[in-house]
Amino acid sequence: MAFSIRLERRLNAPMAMRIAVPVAAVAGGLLAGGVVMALGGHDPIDAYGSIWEGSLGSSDGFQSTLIKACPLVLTGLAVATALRVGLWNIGGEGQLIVGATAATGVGLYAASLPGPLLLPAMILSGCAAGAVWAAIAAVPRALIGLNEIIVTLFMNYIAILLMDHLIFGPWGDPKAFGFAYSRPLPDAAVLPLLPGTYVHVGIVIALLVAVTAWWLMERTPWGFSVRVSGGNPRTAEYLGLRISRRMIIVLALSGAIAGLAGAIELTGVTNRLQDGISVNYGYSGVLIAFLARGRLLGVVLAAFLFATLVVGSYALQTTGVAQPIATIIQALIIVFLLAGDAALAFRLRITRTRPLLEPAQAGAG
Amino acid sequence: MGAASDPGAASDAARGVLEARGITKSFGDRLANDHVDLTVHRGEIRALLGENGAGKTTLISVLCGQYQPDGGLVTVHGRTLTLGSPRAALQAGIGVVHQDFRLVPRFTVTENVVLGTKAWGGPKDEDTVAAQASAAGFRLDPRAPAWALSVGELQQLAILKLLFRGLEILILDEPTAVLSPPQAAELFKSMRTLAAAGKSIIFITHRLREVGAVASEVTILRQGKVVADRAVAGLDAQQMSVLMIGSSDAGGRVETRPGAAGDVVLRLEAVTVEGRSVRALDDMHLEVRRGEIVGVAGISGNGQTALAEVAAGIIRPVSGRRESAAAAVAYIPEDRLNRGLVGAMSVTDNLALRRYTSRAMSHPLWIWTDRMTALARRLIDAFNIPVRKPSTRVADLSGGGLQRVLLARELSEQPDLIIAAQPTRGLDVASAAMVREQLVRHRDRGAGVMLISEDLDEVLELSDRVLVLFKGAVVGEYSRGKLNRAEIGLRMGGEGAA
Repeated sequence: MAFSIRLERRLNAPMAMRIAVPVAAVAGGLLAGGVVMALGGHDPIDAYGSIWEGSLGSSDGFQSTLIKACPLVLTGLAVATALRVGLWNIGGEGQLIVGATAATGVGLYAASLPGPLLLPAMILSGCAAGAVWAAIAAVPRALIGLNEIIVTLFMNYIAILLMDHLIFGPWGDPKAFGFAYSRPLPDAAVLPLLPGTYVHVGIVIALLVAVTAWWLMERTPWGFSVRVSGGNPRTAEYLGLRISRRMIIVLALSGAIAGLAGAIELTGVTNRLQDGISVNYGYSGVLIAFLARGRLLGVVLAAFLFATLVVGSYALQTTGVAQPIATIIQALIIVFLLAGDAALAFRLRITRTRPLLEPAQAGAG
Repeated sequence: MGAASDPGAASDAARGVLEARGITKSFGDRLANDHVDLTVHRGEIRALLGENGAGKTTLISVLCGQYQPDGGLVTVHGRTLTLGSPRAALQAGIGVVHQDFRLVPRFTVTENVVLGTKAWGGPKDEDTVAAQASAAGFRLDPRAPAWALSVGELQQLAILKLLFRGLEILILDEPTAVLSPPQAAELFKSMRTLAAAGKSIIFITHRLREVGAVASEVTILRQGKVVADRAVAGLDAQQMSVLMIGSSDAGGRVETRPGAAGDVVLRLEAVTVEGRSVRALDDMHLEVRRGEIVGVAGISGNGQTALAEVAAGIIRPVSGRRESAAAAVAYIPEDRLNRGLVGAMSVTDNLALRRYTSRAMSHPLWIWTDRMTALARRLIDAFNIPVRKPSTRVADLSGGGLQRVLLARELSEQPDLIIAAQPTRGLDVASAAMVREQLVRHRDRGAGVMLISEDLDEVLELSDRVLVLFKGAVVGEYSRGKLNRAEIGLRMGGEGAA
């Protein structure tokens, strides 16, 4: 007797499954990661102990996770915001970098501004630079339909080269022995910390941006019109909405959010412009938005999960596990999560199959 | 008799080529097929009639192996068919022509036909395809690329695919929905030819008139059950309609009292719109007055879409003028999902598309989603939109459901001008009847209505004035009482003196 297994699409997964599947996915990822570590000659139990300790299981670890979550929440929001108008912003990386670059410029050349003004000026200039960088892709997309995925992606390389030019050249630190660092920023350009922690206030700003973006897109008439334009441009046209204007504004907003991530990372973490100010935060944002299924508030959750994995894998490396293995484990969990998410849309059916044609039995049924 | 028959015991002559017995299939708590029986004999054309949601698609999906039924038995030539296996259905000789044809545009006719078989589309296959095409009465060049074919020809190609595979039982899923009347007539001729050559055809349709025109037998489904299984002879459209929807007064007919025309609410003067290769509208003149339904008859592709969009004020003409005195214009577009709705958004959101900025719904800084939901619940009730929750995505609705969402949104605004393009195309009888009733009701309230439809019966039944559209221009105008069906038909085909 043969069995056949087939996939059927389903409309709504039950609530219990929607919770159970991600949990099982993380467990599966950890299990597969354990196999990888065992093959690499490490004790998986010890290793996972240090991941836990380093990310969520200790006060220091948790604080590191919060710091790491801040840029990830913002870049995830940048991608999810652009999706509201139907555009893919793959340029979070570049927008983050020009945001940090512009903030550095203000920090270095307007250092004479009174302390309480300097920091806001830097952060706003970071947002503005990110917005402009994204708008360079948005305008040709809106007016002549030039693919925004390609343009935002290529603008990343331009941003990196621009930053490199500045930190190796005019903004370079003569005391950095040829490292790719800019001169350090004045003390007034450092983000304050949350009381009693070494976590800068960026995470609070990021959460405020998340709520604001949700409110703007999901709870204002303008956001509604944006979602209509993104959901079906032909219907938006039928309603007389100006789609191109919305595309430009929303992609610029998206760039501003990524630029904000850059300015915060600069003022909260590095305190000078340096190569590697972004550890692929922009690209991680795409993944995070995907994990959150494009939902703005879901991005916050996905970014925290992602930050936990990143910080945990740093902790793993301090115990002697090689960095590639740590990255593999991180990747395994994310692949399992994405697979689980896809699996939720289907169900398996196992049916017994009979020979393709057989003579009818008398009195069937 | 009544009880399930025994296919094994029946003699070969009396037995159907295909016999389905007691097919039952449920989705969640809904019983889509409830012990459905269907028999098709050799050389028979059997119509399968039913409203949207009556279970036609489910039954077809079971027969072609896409669904595994919860219960029931299908035999082909007396042998039990393995259910739930598309491969088994094909081997047994069952093939379906889907509404969307599922062809490869860049392939030639022959390449499309042989795709999925062991043949590779060489000159020999081209000869076979040409021979089978002409035997079925199709005029198809086996070397023509599929993208260059008309809709009617694409359909012939899809049927040819089944013939090439030697399939005996052809299921045509609403084949006439996309065809003009002459194309449909041609299809019917081919169906008769194929049946005479021994093929068995199951023909799914919404159009009652077509059942009498081509089918010899009819099976009518209502709410998942077979309500009639008999010869077409002696059954008129009225009776079929009653069987299909269950009551005699909802037979798709509406009160056709003439309207009382008032002021002009829409005027098009010398309007010209460019199309892809020919002018979509060419020096068009037209007036719509309050309190009248102006029917625009014509075969699709003669400028209907451009006319609708210019009249609704969505596109601007290249030359000429559109004047409208209407404060609110309702537009029921032909392409419902792609032109009037947002598939990924909820029924609630789609119903609010014209109102979300109104004071009752929102402030510039806040949308009261509970008020949007309340509006949605009200409209869902008033227009019988078939959803359980207002948060359902619109893309998950059936054709009738989509049209009800559109009507609810557009007509609840009390518009002065209504532009309805192909408003009943592809709809079940109950939804179509509702559309017609609504148009008449709003006319009586004083709205001007422009009804653009390929369905001549519908135009003649509802209109106070009929215009005939041919190649982007009005080639005939008839007022109620002076309607001449034969002459309108000629004009639609570009015949008859202007």
